[in-house]
Amino acid sequence: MTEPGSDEVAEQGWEQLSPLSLILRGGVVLLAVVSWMGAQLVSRVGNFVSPGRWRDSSGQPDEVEGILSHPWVSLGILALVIVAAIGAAWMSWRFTRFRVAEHQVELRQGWIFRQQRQVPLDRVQAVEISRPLVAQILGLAKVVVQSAGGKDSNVTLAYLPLPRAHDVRDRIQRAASRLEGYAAGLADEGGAPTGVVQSAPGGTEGPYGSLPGDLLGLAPDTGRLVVQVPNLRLVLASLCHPGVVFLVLAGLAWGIAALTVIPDEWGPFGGIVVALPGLVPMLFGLLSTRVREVLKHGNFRLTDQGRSVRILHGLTDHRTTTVPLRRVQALEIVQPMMWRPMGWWRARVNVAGIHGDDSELTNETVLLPVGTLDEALTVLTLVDPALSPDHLRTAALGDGGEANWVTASPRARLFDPLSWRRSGYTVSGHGVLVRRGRYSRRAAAVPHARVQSMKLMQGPWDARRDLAAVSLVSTPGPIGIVIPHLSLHDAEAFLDEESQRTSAARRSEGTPCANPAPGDGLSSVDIALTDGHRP
Amino acid sequence: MTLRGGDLGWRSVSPALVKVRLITLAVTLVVPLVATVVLAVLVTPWVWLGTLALMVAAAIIAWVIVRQVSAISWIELEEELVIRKGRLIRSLVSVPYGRLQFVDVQSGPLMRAFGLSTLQLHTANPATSATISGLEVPIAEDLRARLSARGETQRAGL
Repeated sequence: MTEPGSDEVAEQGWEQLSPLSLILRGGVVLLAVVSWMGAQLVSRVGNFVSPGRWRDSSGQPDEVEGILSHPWVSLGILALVIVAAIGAAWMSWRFTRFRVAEHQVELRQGWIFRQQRQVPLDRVQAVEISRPLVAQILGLAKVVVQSAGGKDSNVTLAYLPLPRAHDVRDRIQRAASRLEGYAAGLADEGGAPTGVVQSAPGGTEGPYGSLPGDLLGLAPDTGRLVVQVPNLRLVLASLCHPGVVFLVLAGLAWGIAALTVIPDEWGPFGGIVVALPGLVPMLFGLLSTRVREVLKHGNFRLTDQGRSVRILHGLTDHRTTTVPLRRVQALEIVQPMMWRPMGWWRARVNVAGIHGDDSELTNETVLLPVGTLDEALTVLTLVDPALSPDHLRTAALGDGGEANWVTASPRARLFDPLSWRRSGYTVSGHGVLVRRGRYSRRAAAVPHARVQSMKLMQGPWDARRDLAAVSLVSTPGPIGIVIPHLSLHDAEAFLDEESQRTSAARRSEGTPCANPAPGDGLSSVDIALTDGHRP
Repeated sequence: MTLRGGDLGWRSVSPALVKVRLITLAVTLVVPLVATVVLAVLVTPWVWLGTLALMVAAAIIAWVIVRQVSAISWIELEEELVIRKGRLIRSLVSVPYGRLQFVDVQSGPLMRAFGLSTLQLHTANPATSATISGLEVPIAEDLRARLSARGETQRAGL
């Protein structure tokens, strides 16, 4: 490893983080140390001013204790610790360098113990910019380069001034997209790409922060604003939750019960006072999930970037995430029952490489936290242009009886009295549309070319009525596609036909030459993204 | 592909799998059985009821094992491997060769003693693991080789 001498560093394009990141990264530790020392000092000074107290308690005055108790000594130690902490932070900052090279992003850290981490650009899944609250105040941002190797292989550049963060992200994306352009060229030769919006080379580049009214400082630097969710709507939608209703009802019941039982001399509000403590934990648990929902999806905007969509979200901790269209495996719109009067829907997708097991990350596949059906359909058709909005509308709102739709068998009425008329599927040349649920509705779409495997299931009750369920298995994610209660004949026929359709779709979509790395599931071509987001 | 019937030439797994699973069942039941017998002799004869319950449970499970093993069948079609399982809860899984990420062949000591192994197919979704237990080792090895070869030629991107 070479010495990070400043001349050599400048030559090779190594860059430094913002000096202000000292405050952000070391600030908390420093604050803790200072406050601890401060507290110690106050008590020591107290002891020094009235020495009789410690002499009384310990019998003999302890020499060391005595010296340490002297305010000047304490102050000196405090100063020394602070200076040492600042020095260490400064050294760590000085020796942290990063570089966007032609084939990789490199981060070098450490003064005594050197550490160098590299992420090859063709393994980059995503470049995310994140801005915690304090960073926003200081005009800083964090760049997280996420790679296919898992959490430990990420490179985090914390922190950079916002314009530089945008610049670094753009540079990484540009370098990675050069590789992807090459790979995409191969794929185009191999077969007709479906569901991929082609954009002109360099279409994702441009000046950052150019959008007017960019209060967040996380403007979609480029791209067309497709949908924006007002925070008020998000808050209302989050409150339309069975838990909230339950809590309100429980609170009322509890209050009334308490009021009738509580003796009069406790006053008119005695019952409420008694009732409240019991409700507080419930309130807390419920509110925390609702608040987290608003925090995650606040300031939500989705922009069209050509080959990917970029999502800006987060009420206090601003984030941008990018979903590459090529990696979308399945799409879904959901309408919880309580959103029906407002006609609100939520849209989400399964993205290859993003695993649903981490609850913190699954939400990043939400493409629209709450919006009208039109907005939801706009988003879905943007992500998969081969989808027909009319078909989707039928899938969302249809109540059964439409042509082209195969619905659950009437024999399933006993098992599914509410939605057996509605639940079912339709097939287009591009994919399968599935709808379920009568009061709490959902409609999902999966392209034939994205079906991983298929499953036919029949439990004992189904067997009695000659029914079966079909499941089209997608990659891991929030969406699972199951068509329940088909007649066994329909289900078997569907399976046969769908296996032919998926095989044809696979043949036209993927050729062996476009996927040169067999056996690892995430071949290099699949990962070479302009800017994806990571599991 | 049908959930029942053998029209296409479905292949079943080795009946020796029944023995393997029965032995496993017997081994797991030995300790609780001995415990109940000891308690019945030393403490109170009422514990014989527990012994009886265990025996009945064992008999039922053994019957289920026999039925289950005979219900496992598989077939190699042109583009996919199809596996059927279950009597009470029937399932049929169809995995296209082009979607295979890798194929595992495993064999524990007991399975090896009977010359059997388990073949497991892995796709991009780890939740849907398709397995065939009780294949004779040469059959499993051949199948794995064929699956890998077909996976290479028919591979599709994610």
